[in-house]
Amino acid sequence: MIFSTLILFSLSFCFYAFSQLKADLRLRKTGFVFLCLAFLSLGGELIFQGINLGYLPAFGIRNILLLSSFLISFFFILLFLRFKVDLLGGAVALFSGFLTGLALFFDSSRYPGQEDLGIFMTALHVFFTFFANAAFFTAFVIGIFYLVQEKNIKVKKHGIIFKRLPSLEILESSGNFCITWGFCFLTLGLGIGVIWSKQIFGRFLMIDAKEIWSFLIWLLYAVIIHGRISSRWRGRKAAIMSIIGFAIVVFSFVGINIFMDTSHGEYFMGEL
Amino acid sequence: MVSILWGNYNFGVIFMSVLNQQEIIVAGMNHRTAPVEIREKLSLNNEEIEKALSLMKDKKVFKEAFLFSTCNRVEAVFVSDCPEEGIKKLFEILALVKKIPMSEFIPCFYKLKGLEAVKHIFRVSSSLDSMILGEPQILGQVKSAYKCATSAGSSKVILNRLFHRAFHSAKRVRSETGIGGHAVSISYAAIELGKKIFGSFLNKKVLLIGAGEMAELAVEHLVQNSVSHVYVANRTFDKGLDLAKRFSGSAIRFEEVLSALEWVDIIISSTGAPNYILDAKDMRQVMKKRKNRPIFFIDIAVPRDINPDINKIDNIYLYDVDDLQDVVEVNMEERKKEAAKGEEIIKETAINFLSWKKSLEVVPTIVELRKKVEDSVKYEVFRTMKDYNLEKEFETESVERMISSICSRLLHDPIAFLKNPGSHRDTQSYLLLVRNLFNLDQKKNKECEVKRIVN
Repeated sequence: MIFSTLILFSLSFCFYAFSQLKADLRLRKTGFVFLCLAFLSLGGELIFQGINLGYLPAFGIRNILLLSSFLISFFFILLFLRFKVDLLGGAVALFSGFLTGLALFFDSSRYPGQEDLGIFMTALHVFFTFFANAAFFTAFVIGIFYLVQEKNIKVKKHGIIFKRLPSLEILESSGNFCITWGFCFLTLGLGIGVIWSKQIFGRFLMIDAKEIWSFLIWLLYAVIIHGRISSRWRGRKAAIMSIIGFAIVVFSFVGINIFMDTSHGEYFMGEL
Repeated sequence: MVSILWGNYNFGVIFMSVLNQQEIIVAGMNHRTAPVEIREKLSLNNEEIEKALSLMKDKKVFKEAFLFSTCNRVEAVFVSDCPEEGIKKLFEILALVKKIPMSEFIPCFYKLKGLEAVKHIFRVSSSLDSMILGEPQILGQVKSAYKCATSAGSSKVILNRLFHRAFHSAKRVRSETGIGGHAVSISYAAIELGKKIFGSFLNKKVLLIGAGEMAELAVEHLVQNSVSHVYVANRTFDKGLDLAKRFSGSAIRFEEVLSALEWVDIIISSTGAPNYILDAKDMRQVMKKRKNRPIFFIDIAVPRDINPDINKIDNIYLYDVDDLQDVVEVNMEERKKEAAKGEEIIKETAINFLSWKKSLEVVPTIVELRKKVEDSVKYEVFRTMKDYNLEKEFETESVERMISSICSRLLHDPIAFLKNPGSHRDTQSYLLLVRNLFNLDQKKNKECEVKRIVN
């Protein structure tokens, strides 16, 4: 199933790439259809594994990669339905395909803790935080597009990129949409994490690097949303903030899990 | 006997083919070949076109005719077996209708025939030959001229098909290339830019400062793109009031402009002021009050009204006339690139059309007709012979001879009619009828035909 997903992602990417070259709407639509198919196939894989394991497959590098890939394409499809912008399609297909391909190098791993202890909560915690990360990733890409398009308009250079990118308005509101949803799910995910910690370890916070960074990320996005609402950070500044935000997300996710010893590490690596 | 029949038939065919060479001729002039003085003198209105077409219909030399005139061009398309005489007659008719001496306009005319003529018609309809490449009006103009020709009864089999193919290829060029995709006027370029900033103009307010043709045109385009309201600020309030009425908007006083900037989204400025009327310092204040909502300035005035420094402030976008002119020039280049793709489409469709026209000549039709009948008879006869084991009893050669003579006998009258349907009849339409009746176009290998014509 992973192989079929991989093939579908690459097909989708090819169609998107060609549509950019030939400016043909039909090619782009085909690309989108293949992306949806890849999304469904990946969903099927996750459900199949979930039934096999008896819980949401959210542990171990392999599953984390698959889940990320799944959520990113889910977010893209959501965005397409909401804003009718499928410019990101090629990037999403490429990135999701890359994550799926990467997953092939890792073995499927099991939940490292005791299975009866809060497994449902953990899975939900992982799912929600990953959903937030996927949203922040999309906001990050949109932020880059915003900066490029804004630059194009400001310096009055109207090349092919200017023509292909959507309007600033759409970029801004879709970025906003992503960050708002990402923030909601992050709040949920962190909340569940804190409750889970109380259940398993008997206290709400472990006060390790991962938790501190997560809280910082939560705070940062709260500030970004506040900046948007109070309209101090509109347009360019908001785009820069969403790029910085995602950079910190990536650091806290990869850097801390691998290089620092925290309570999350073993779940991240899984029981090999 | 059979061989004599064959010889006779071949001779007739060759003779007729020389006689029946119907050519498509284009004689015309456009903005490249004729100065404006001649173009305006020769430009025809609808009644004049009708008059000229009826005059052309009376002349035997024109089998079919079509006339087309816009401010930039006059084109005559006709089908004739004697091009030189046709062109001469055409000039006489034009001189008669427009009442100007022939010598004045003859040097401006280009004359094309065959593939070149067909390609020219297709290029004109697809706006590849227009002064502003890719402008959309020309197709409509050609269509109405074609309607004129059909109602005058001067467009028949060949021209009907020619123009339907022309409309088809124009549509293809428009949809398959980006020839109409880039704004090539300053006001359109401003609109496109606005779309890249705001997405759509719904609920956006426009402020026009000053007046001027280009500025008003831009506002008109914006109104067509459904902006919510237009405000006009003019130094003389009454003048502003008049202008506002035109866009069903409202007028504000010139002193109120700065406060209006807090709630309008697009500003088109075109005053005669010698200095900047708006500075970066003012705009920083305004942006705070606007809560940083984006604002788009289009400064059409020369000297400029708005200090270019404000473009450096976040969420403010400023374009002056030169910037827009640059955009237009870049777009023009884009259109030229797209036009090259259009030429390919035109070439392909023109060759296809000519292969169809060629099939309307007498010789190929007779040959195909004969072949079709002969093949059918042959097939049935040999099948029957095989079924009843008669192959040994009859010589194949003599059976074939018999088949050939049956066909000659059977087709003698239709072929004779096609060769000479009578002096007042239109050969082309009978050929088309025969081709449809016997379904001769179905099996044709199009590519083969195309190659033949190219070579």
